Amino acid sequence: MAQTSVSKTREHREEHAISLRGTLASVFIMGIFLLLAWLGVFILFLARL
Amino acid sequence: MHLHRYEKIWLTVGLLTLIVFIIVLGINAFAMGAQPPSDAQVIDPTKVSQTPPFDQPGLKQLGNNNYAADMTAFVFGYAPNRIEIPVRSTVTFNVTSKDVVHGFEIPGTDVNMMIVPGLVNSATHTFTKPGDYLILCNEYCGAGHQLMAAHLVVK
Amino acid sequence: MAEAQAAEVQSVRVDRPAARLSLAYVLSGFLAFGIAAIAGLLQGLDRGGMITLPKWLSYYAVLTTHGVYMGLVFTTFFIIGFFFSGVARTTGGSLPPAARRLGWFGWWMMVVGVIMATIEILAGNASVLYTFYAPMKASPYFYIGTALLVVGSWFGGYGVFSAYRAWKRNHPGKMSPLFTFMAVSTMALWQIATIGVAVEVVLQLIPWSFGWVPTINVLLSRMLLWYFGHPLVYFWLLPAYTMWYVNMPRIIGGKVFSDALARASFILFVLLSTPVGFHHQLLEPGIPPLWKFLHVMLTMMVVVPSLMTAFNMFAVFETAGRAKGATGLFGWFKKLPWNDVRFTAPIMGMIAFIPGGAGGIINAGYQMNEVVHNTIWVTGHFHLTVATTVAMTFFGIAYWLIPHLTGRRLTPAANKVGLAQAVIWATGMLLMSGSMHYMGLLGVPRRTAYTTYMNNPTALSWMPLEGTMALGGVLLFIAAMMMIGMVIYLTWFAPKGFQEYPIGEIGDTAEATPRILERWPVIISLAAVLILVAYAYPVIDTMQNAPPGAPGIKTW
Repeated sequence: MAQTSVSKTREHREEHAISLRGTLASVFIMGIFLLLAWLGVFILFLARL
Repeated sequence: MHLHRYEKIWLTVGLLTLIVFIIVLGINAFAMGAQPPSDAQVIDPTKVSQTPPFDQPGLKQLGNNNYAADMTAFVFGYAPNRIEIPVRSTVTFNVTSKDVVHGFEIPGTDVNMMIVPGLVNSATHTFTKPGDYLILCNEYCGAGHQLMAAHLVVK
Repeated sequence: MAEAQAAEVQSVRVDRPAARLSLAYVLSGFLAFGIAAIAGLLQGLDRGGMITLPKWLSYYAVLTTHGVYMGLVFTTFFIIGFFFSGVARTTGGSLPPAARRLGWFGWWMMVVGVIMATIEILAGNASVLYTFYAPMKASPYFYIGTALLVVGSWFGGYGVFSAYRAWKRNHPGKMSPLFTFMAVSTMALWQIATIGVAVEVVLQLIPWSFGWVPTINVLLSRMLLWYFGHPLVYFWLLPAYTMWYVNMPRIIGGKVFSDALARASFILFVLLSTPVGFHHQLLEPGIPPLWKFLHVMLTMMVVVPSLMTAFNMFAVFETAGRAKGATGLFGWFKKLPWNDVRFTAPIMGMIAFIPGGAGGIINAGYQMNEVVHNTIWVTGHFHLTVATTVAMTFFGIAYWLIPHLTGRRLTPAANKVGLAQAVIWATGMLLMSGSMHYMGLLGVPRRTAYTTYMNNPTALSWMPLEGTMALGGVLLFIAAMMMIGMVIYLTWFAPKGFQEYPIGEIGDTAEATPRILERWPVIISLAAVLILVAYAYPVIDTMQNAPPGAPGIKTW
């Protein structure tokens, strides 16, 4: 990265804002899994009440 | 401290979801009565056999289809070790330990509680399906722990 | 120039004296791991009904060995060894002599403690599992042994603190290196957490076990144990998070996403992981519902730093992948170094933490706990979190840490064996933990030897799943023995050379780190306030309104 110039850094910064779409999608897939697992056991709890 | 916009979205949604979990559990427990077993009644753990009602453990009818099961847990069993009730009965299990910590669980129901020496714990359940229900100890209590069980017959 | 600087930073080597100390801890940890794996195999096969243990070998003594050795001995030794190496690596390559002396003193104390506890377990005087619930009464020497293990680990922590202070003195006004900060936070958390178990063991269990006092306040002992029991799991987890935040970015050719957020998540753990212990006691008599619910609420809050960590890790992977030219929503996923065991073992652990975390939120769900409490679901849960997430991260660390410390190299062939080992471990855990979760929902109890409850039809219906669980256990044992083989190879037989100790650089876009994240008096005071809020009233209430105490009994 010896040639890392100011312009490249800036380009990287701009890219940064859009380049985390995959991250957002990934955490939300994970979040949906957490939610479904929780709901599943909560429904089981209500059914066995 | 700077947070990426997506991270703000994620943490906000995540935090709100956790708060919703708390609210749902809170309403179900405190307003609808689905509290986990938290009995506060104390007892001398060395005098369980002399202390009513545990001097005579057994099933007591409280009303129509309403029973109290006063039970003792000990290494490695329960007294009484067999209970019979008619279907659609509501049973309140009041259980204490004569020695070490035990568990009290009826698989297939939400009845599941810790039995700690010196304290009485209780749980109530309505049995709507006939069958032979297994009551088992789910807290390690010693060499015969895997044998510690009782039967609840719903007719 | 930046390149040359980076290369210079990556060539820093942990010097001989620090490496010897770190290696002593790490290798002791793996010795315990090997013994625990043998115990695990025996109990898995016995419980699955595939073998019957001989009369002289109690299932519960084997179970105690497995729990104590995996949960307390392997983890604690490995963690302290890893931290000593990383602190040395990020503060210039060596540890100050005072830090090393504290480290060695702690190591000896821990070794003596483990030997004492082991003798008592093998003699059958301590089949009380690693939670040692009173009033089951073990030999006093078992309790003294475990106390020495814990106190020894304090000295390990003091060693880390002393190296940190020395660095701060030499670098006034500067923010400490991220790894060192994380080591210090985790060991600070450990100091706070172990107060509970130390009080229980020293003031309650030892005097009672010697017969100096006739009875014990059982509920108080359980509160003290679980004051310790939950931060204990974060003590296991945070070193894995340290690896993910600091070492992982370098391994995948990326950068640390945000130094500030990484530190903030660790501070949240220091603050929130202790005042949550009642979520292990939700079904217990003698604790008022509102206090249980308060702990449930705080438990939900301690999920937040893990949500932060998840985002951070995905962001590191995506940024690195896109820098290598990945396109599309998930193209970066394929750019990850899947054939590098230093990456693959830990990421399998990370993936396991998704169901692991989901299970944790369910367990802490107040009344929902009735579905899973003390069923084998819980065993399945911590085999995902500790035995997959944490253990596989530790495996991944060992593959570069051990050769770095011994002046050897992880060869391509060893890397391949490591990949196979990771896949077998993950598969074994999928089978074992998966069937445990499912059986738990059916109500199968944990910590129970082979039983059909006198051929009870309900219990008989569980048997095929117990078989699947045992099969998973066999795969895990094979992977464990491969790991032991690799540890031996990398310590004594691998070719000489230089194995890089990967430390990630901070990304260009990362913001400056606020100073508040290193104001320890503020952080520790806040933690103390939260603990007092959560525990002061219930503990005093339990002491004042206690039922007559329980005499001890040996029931095994």
